[in-house]
Amino acid sequence: MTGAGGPRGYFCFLLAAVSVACSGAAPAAAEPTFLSKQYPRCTACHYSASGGGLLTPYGRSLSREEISTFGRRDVAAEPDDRWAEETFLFGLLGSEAPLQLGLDARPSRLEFKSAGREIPGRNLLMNLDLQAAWQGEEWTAYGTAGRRPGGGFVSYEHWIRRRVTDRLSLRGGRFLPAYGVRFADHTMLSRERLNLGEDDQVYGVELGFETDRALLQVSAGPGRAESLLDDDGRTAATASGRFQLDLNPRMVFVGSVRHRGEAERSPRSTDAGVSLGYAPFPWLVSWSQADVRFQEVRGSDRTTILTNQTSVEVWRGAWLRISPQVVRTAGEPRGEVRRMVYGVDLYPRTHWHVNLSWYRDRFVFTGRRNTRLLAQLHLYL
Amino acid sequence: MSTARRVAAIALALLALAVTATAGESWTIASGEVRVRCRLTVGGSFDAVTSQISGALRLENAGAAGVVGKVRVRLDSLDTGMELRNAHLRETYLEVDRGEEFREAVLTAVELAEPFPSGVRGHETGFEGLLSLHGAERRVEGEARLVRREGHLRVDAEFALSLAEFAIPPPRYLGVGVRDELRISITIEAAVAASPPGAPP
Repeated sequence: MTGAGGPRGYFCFLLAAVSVACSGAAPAAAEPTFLSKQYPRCTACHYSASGGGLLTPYGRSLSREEISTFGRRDVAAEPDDRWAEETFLFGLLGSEAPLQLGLDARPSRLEFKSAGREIPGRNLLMNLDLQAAWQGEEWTAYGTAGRRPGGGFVSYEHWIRRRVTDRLSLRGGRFLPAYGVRFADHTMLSRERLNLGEDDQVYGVELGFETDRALLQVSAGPGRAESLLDDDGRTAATASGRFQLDLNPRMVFVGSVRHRGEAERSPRSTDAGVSLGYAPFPWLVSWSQADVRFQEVRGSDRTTILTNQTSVEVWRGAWLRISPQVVRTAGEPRGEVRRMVYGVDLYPRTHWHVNLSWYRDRFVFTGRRNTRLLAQLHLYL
Repeated sequence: MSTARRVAAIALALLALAVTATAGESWTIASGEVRVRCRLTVGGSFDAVTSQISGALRLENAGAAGVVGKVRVRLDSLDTGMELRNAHLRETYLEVDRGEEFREAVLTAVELAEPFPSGVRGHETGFEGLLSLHGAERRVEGEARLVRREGHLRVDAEFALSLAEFAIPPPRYLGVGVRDELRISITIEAAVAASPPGAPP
């Protein structure tokens, strides 16, 4: 290799950039943003305690009443006496049924430019997943089945949870371990660089303990699900802990830690992070997170990641988003990346989410800039 | 000065002191905020807030425990930041359309656990009072902090109440509910004036 600026380095870099671009970027959904509506916990709207995935009937109702621009109905109407636009297939199963289904599809368009050079854009179907949840008295069974972005079958999550007491719950299966803020964009540096991406779920068990103001989630298991299934030499025991303190309904503090043992093809690592979410107004929310990864790699044993995402609702159902992000690796100046994301999220009608995001990555060592434009229609039926 | 005049002067001074010591104080609410913290059954909580608080209170005697008067809060102005949640709160559970006694919460017969002496700037005490809400009247107990400053009084008070005790049905919507105990925080800025015994609040 002739150096970072040489032709070979440039080619390798270009390949890496294209692969990153093709791996896609998920849209910003509403969950961290909903702190602005005084919902500090994921479980108000999602079945999963670590957020994302199928919406509960309550979450579906909010997606219509509080997110969409034109979906809101007459507030005096009773839940049962109207056309249930927000429910699966317009009320086929009913809001009170123990079985709830959902369909998540994300047709997308990606445009990419590396160091000023255009790379052919790509249309892709980022997600096509059927999601299902069955909820009994104290048991919840959850699973997804769908198409992997590159083709093939994938079930990102499948787990069973038992609510042991009002405060204590236990779940086992495949899920994304609770860590920091689950930004909906899985390419956020705080997710991507900490192996919390789209297919980084683990197999394990998770203990959840909650009070009115606090939530503790501790999980342990044999490791990343895809590595276990593929036997790719990266399988290592993983344990994580996340503590959330609701300072008030509009301000949340989160402390997280995760440890992954050494595997044949990946070093031992420990991640620690703190996050703060603050929504001073119903139309403004800001999340910040600082993470450090310690790992046993020659020459660079510590990586620091700083991320922020600030969203402003300029009109009902129309959010502007800005997200500065930085990653630095101690002793490895080539690893420093400064990213800025500008986004627009439009929710014109229940089930419809249009996401336009423009990413600019600046590689500080080389001075090279990459940009990405994502245009995505997110249909959650 | 003759002895008789001295005695008269001392008697007058003592009388003035006695009147000052027993004179009451009226507090007229100029502004304030009521924050109702509702804890969700799925964890977390939200606040319903209003600044529609009014009323006047009077300490019968400086240093007395009893506070005469009423504090009124308009329940139809409680705002949770979401229209649907507001509609459910006001119409389904508080039933503000049923009449004035449902539209307002009224706190009366306030008794301070530790009397608030005149001349004292800051004071922390427990209190109890009679709360009229949702057509029912129940005693509530809480903690209050009172601070006098330049003709004004600031009160920060907190108490808890049970929805069931006030015959308010358990709020629940599509599987998500509000727990029975609510935490109420009240902040009041009041104008202070001297008030002779027996004066209306």
